[in-house]
Amino acid sequence: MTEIDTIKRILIIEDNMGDFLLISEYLEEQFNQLDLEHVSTCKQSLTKDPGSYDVILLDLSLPDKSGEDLVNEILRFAENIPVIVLTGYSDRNFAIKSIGLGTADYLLKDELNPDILQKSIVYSIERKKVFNQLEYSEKRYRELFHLSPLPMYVFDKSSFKFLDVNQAAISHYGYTKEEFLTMTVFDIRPSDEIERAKSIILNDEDPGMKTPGVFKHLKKDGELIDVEISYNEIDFEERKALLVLANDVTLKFQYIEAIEKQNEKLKEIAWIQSHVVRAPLARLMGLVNLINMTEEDDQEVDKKELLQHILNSTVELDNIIRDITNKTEQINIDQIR
Amino acid sequence: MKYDILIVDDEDIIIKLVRHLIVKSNLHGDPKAFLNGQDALEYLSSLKQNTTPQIVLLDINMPDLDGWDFLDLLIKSNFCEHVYVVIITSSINKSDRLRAEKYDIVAGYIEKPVSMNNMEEIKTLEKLDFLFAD
Repeated sequence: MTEIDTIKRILIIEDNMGDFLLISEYLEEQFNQLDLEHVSTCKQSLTKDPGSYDVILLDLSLPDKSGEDLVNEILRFAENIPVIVLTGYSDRNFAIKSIGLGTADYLLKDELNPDILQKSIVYSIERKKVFNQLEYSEKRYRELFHLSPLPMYVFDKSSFKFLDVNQAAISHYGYTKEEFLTMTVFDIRPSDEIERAKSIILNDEDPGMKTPGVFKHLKKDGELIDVEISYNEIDFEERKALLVLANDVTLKFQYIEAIEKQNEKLKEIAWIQSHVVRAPLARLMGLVNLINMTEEDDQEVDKKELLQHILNSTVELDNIIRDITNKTEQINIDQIR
Repeated sequence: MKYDILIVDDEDIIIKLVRHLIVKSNLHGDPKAFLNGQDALEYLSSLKQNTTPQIVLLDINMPDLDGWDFLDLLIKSNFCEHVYVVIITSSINKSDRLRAEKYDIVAGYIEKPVSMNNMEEIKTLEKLDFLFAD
């Protein structure tokens, strides 16, 4: 099925009955299936539902409105539907200007013929379709940036100035969008990290996504955070820019640090268990062993002395266990929360 | 006896216990005892001309000079030729046992508490085989 075979729903806004009849005759000649609607004033057209048309044909001089006012009014009404302007030779210059306002095409009534009309309509509809798709996908990408839960920003590669920031960055760093747009990427860094960041940006030549690691960033309230950076080069409004994703890993780092400390403590405890606890315990076992194997009247072994040693060992053991308990209580990962 | 035995341990009661076991098990009639490694090293050094094998029962965890330092000083000395060390420790850490195995001079590794069985074990140690092979 060609474009000519699909049904065309057309709104014609034209106060001159003669012109309308001529146009509808041309259309019937060119399109197999037509759904025409005719209004003769701007006011009347605004009562229609723009979504029910594929294209709008607009005469530039209507009794209730004309010129730029009319074009703007109808374009607002038409939303995504292409508007083709029809005009006499005298209004040619304005018709050209209307393209800049957003109309799809202009046709001079004096030169109008069925072929030109058909081509203009088919072309306008198709172009608008592609344009709408583009606009939609651009909107999708903008949303991916602005609605991302992770802070993202775009900055100029040569001036280092912020060009755009997303909502997550605004709420995370505490600056408003307007404040961000007057700042450079070094304004969100502690002074001792600026050189490192600068050299990475200046030495960035290879294409593709990069993850240069973890950096210190500074929030508006002065809080230092650890962020894992990944970035990619993009063209932003004809400037070389970097699109950056800054994932705050401060808490993650604090946890890792706490876990490492905990490991140290556990190792310490394991060492104590093995060396310190076992010493009096092994002594106790040895002493009991010795008592067991000595005969009652053995003069060499002083049982009283052995008992005293056993008692000392139990006290030592008790103290060590208290010490371990203290150390264990120092392990408190919940403090981070 | 064709060999001597030295007990090196900072705990007096352990020395008494080990000495008792050594005598009872007929490992030796009169083992010498030292409460720290430094004294034991000095004694060994004084035996320079003596070729009698010296079996050192060595504690690891001692204040000042611990068992590892004792071993390092011993193997650097010129009087270690006839010295054989059997480590006697309360540590049950695998890492300590592995560390001990790296020393050529170490003939055995015994975990406390020491019992009569350990005395028999010493008699069967490969590196001390030549002393007990009758």
